[in-house]
Amino acid sequence: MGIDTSNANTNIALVPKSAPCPPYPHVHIPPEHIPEETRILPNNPKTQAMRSFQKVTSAFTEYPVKGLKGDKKSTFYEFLTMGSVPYIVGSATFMALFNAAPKFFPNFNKKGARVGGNKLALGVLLYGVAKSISKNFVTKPVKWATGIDTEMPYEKVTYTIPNSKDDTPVPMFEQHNVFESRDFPRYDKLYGLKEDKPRNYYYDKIAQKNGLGRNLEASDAEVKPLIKDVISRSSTAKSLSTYVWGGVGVMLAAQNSWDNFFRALSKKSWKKFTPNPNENRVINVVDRGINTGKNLWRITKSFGRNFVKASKELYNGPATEKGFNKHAGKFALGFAAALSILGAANTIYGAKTAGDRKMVIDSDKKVTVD
Amino acid sequence: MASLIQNYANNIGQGISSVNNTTKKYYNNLTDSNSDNLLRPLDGKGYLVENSLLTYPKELAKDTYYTAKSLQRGITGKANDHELGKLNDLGLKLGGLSIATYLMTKRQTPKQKAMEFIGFGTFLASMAIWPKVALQWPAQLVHGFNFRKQYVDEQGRKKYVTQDPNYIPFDLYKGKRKSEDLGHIADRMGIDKNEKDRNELAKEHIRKVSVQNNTLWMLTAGVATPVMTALACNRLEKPVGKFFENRTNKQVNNLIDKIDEYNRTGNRELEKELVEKNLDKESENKLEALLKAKKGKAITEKDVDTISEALTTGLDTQTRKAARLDLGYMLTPNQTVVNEDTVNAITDNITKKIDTKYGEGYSASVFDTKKLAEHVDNFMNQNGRPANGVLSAEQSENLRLSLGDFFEEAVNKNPDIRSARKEVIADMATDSINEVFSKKKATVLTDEVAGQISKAGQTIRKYRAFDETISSAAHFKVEKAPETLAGNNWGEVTETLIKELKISPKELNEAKSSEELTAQLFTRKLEDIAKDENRYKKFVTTISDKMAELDTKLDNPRAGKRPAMDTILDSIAKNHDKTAAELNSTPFFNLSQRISGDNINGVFVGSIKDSKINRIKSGRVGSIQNAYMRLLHTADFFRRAEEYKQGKGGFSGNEKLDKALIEKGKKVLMSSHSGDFYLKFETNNNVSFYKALMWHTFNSGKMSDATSAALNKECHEVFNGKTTMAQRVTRWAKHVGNLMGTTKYDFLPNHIEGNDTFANAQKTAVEKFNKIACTPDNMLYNALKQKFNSNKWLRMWTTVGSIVLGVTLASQFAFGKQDKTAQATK
Repeated sequence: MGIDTSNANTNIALVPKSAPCPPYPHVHIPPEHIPEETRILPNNPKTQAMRSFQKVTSAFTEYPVKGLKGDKKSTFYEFLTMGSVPYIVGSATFMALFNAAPKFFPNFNKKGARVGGNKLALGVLLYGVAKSISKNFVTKPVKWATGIDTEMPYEKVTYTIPNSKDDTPVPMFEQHNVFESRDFPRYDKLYGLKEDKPRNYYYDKIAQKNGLGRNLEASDAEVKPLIKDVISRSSTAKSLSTYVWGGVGVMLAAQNSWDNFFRALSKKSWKKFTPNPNENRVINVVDRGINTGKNLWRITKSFGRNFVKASKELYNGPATEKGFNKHAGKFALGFAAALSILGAANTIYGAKTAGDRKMVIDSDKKVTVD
Repeated sequence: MASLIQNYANNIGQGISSVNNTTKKYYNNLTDSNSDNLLRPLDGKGYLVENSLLTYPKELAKDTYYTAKSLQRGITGKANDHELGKLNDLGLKLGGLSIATYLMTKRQTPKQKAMEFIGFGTFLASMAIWPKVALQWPAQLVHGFNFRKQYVDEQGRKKYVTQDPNYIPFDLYKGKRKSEDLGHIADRMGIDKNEKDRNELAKEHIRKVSVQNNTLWMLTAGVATPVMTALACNRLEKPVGKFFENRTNKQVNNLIDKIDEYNRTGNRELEKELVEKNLDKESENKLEALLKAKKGKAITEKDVDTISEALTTGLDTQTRKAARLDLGYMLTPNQTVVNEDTVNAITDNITKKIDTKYGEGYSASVFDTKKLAEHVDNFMNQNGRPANGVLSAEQSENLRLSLGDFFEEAVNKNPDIRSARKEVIADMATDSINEVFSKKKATVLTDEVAGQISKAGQTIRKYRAFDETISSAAHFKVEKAPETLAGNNWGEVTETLIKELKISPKELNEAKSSEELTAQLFTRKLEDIAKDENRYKKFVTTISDKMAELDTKLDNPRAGKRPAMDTILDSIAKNHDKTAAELNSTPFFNLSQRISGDNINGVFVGSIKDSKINRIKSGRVGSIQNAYMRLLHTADFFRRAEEYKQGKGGFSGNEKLDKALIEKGKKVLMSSHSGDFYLKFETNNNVSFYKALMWHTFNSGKMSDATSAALNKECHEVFNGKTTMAQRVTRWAKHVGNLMGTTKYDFLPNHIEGNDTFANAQKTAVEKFNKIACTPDNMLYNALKQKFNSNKWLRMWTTVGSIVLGVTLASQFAFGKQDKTAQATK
């Protein structure tokens, strides 16, 4: 009791390096000043992979341990991050639901059950992949057109609140996006992004790109509402479109073309390697590796081939059907594409017309308070 | 400015004076002086949401409105984080619905289609129910508060109170209700009344338990939600199937009534609904376009093929061949086409022949191609240049002869050709002319023939359209497909059989491995049941009642109305007969025969009508009923054997023989396929025994008293009307005895010997196969395998679900324990 938790994180994040430690007598003062370590990260595949890895591993290990103990240091961020646990475990359970039992079935029933189970598992997989990739159908055009990268990542470093006098603060890493919140975008992280450029460099760039003008007195003030608009619209577009794209992934997995892929994937199709007794061990190990590589390449090729076939099958529909049943695949693809395209277009439109909207404060006029 | 502040202070004063809650009491007690008129913050607008079944519809409506508004605000760039979160939930539902809609198009039956949506709905429901049932309610029971309580904040955003452990709006616990009173919650938690900072302790307990429960929710939902969804769908499948079976059967019965009325009255409105709606416009356009393009022109054999294909779109190859045969007669190529190609073809052909024989280039000296072309041209002019170069048979013959003369003359007049060669070359020329002429044979598609083909096309399209309607009804009733009446009833009968046989999981596990083990188990079980008369009667009654349901569902028997299955068969017959008659009036005799007749060009191939009717009558309804009768007859034989043991007789009276007859009879009934019947069950060295076996097993017409009593109820039989199960079983047994009772090894399909109540023509191999039907052991074996699979799956996932639920529930007792070190620090 008695520990002020509300400002602990922000104290660390916002206090400049040179400032003295907060002089609150009731707060345990760390032995030395904790520097601001929160930083913007480059938005590239490497960062994304590392962030995902960190989030997923924490969600499966550290956070549940803290959470199950009811730790005072458990945070809302941890709860939200643990949201990936049901997603991943749920996917695995769905896959297992129709794949775990068939191995106990009588011989003639195994095959049919397995094909159905395999399709379901592939559906779960393609759902996740399609959902994750389709985010780019909105974010990339928005970034190209408005200059705003709605997925701009940053790593927030916080230090735990000491529980007792002897407790030392432990750094906690949180993976966020600068624009993940529409209510509280991290505008502060966008000042002085580049050392050799003006403090408002980022805001100047966005203002210019979206037609708000050049050399503005306070480009940040002009751009902030625009950013909020973009977050709101792009997030709406992502929410609506990515799940439908995920659905398209499931639909793709439901096509018959995948039967060939499952055959290629089966144990029977794996070309076995028999070590040559006349060769030495090293050569045999290398040959085994080559054999494995060849098998994997064969499976990859089969996946690619059947992916194309299944896509065509989804698009064209069954030859025997007519009407909606025949064209349902086309409709689904069209619907998903329309949601992404319209969503991105609406976001870009919002950004490009932001300057036309009536502002409470006219930027051209000097505002004075009487 | 000053007045503004004054106004504000006054308003606040009024607001404060109207406060009549615990806050007011708190302030009153805080100090002796009345602080009501002092300036202080307003009470917040936020409040805790009281969720109950009564408030649910209102809250649901509010939430839906909120989401709709969020969407509108999201599109216009105004939505806040909370609203964007709602849109994420909306996206999840949109994605799920699109999956269900697509997968629905891939499913064939209404039940399967509905299950796609039910599956998605169950998934959403499981997501919502799991945290409530497995976490919220138990936690409330154990810890005395609802950790998933919701509140609406100042901005009208509905959130979970404990979602952020660092910000729990305890200020909203104003004590209006017990669930909002920290004192009461502390009581439920068992915190000592005299504890210092009692409310603070309760708050910390709430925080801790909430964090623990929220974490456990995240950890368990991944397993629990899919498992709950799958198990719930598994349970829902049966009632949903029943619902859709009844619904579809009603619809199909209505359709059959309409078909019946249309057959009787030819009602124009019904024709539109039952026939014209299904007309194949595509094939009509194709055929008409083809006829239009070829009308008045010479057509080749290939054209005739194309026309026959267009004419018989959607029909089988045999029918197409019949149509091709008729078209072949109608479009006999007795004319010849002469055009530029003709001269070239003759020149090429003759040049090749001469050059091959006399050396390259020799032909150039024999005749002049130009003159040949002139000759043909002159001939065509003399004959009035017929349209498209089509010459009648007579003209064609004249041209052929004149061309022969042309070459003879050219050769004879040529001094460079040795006389010995002249005759040879003239012969070669004649050969070449004949060859080319034979290839140029053609006929013209006259208006009359085109009209006949068009009319036939119209007849066939109408036939197909009506047939499609009838077939859709027949399909649901009898087809071997998912969710048909026949398929469902078979499933129910076999399920009842397993239930009545009381097969234990261990027995199920063993028997599912082979048909032989199933036969042994089935025999053992039937022998046990047969020993107890009451149990036997119940067994036979329950199963036969289930079997009888099929006939009632198929026929929909009503006084004064035709049974549905009779209407189906009549409609098939009428549609085919009518079509055949119409086609016969156009010169499509073979096509007419193929549809409703039995020979094409003098060869017996069977008609579509017969094969359709036979498939429904004998192939589907017959073979299912025969299998049912065989099962009941088998049960009766076991009971007769038991009664024999009890000294009631019923067999030959020769103890040794009877023992052998009973033993063999049980095996024959339980496991013998038609092949075994043909091979006389390996009793070839003992004809008398075989005869006795067939008599006592099938022909004798005997039935045990218990079976007679159980099966003597009146029931409806498809294609026969009122009857009893006992009569049906006896009829079946006698029929099999007559069909298969021959002592000769005769594999000919129409063999007959002895009893002649059945005509020769009926004793086909197919009829024998259908009558002997599925063996009881095979019927049980397949059902057991399915049962094993679904049991295995169900047990596996029920276990997983139970473990997760158990651990989740038990965790409540470990939650909320205070950390001793934290206590010490405090």
